Amino acid sequence: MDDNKFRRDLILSITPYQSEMLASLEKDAVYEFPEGIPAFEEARRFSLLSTDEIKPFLYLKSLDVDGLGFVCIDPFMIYSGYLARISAADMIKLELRDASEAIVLSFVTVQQNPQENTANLLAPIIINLRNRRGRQVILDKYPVRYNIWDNLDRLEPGT
Amino acid sequence: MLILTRKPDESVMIGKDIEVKVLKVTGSQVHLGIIAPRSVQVYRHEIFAQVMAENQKAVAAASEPNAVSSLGENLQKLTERLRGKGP
Repeated sequence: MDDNKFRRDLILSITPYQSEMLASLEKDAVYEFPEGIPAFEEARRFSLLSTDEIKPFLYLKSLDVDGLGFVCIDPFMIYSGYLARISAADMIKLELRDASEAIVLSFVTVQQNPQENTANLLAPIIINLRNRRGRQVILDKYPVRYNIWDNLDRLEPGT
Repeated sequence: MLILTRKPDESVMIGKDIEVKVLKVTGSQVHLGIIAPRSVQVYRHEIFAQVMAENQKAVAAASEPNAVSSLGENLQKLTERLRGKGP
């Protein structure tokens, strides 16, 4: 086994930096997911919409498959101390050189009752803004269905 | 499906770069060692299946007509709370 593997992993955890980057995303940018998204491998190109109606949520809209899209949230906003530990394999595929190039977003599973909406903290998407390449990665911890509403009380007080 | 019988310390090659080795068998547990290039991702199958299933659920809820505006209503309450917390 390769002992170096874990030392070369990259940790993306720079919260204030990320929110700044999310606020200044280019409107018409097309993001390429070369392997699609697991279960939707045919969806390769996406745009990322942020409308006033849904802020701070974002909408990752497929440009290949009509009507296909994912609601996203900044995971650092809903989980204090969230750490996205990106494996060397994912870094290579994204051509990621530094954490400052990337944004991290979690898919939201929207339920009838907003209080039951969950975020997928286990498998966030990482987008390299330098080359506009994206990929869903699987981390080594965190729940796949994290209840956003119930856990807001556990956030460090910002109010 | 190709079926091979291996003993501890024996391995199989998948292509020329990936080696899967049986390290130890304890009761019903098999310990595998995997040697693969850095660019190859290795996951436990059930974790990957769980991610795929959740992606399908996330899309089912988000892909209705006028997804973004109808989501607006759903997300509004949550949004108010999130904004209250502020980054």
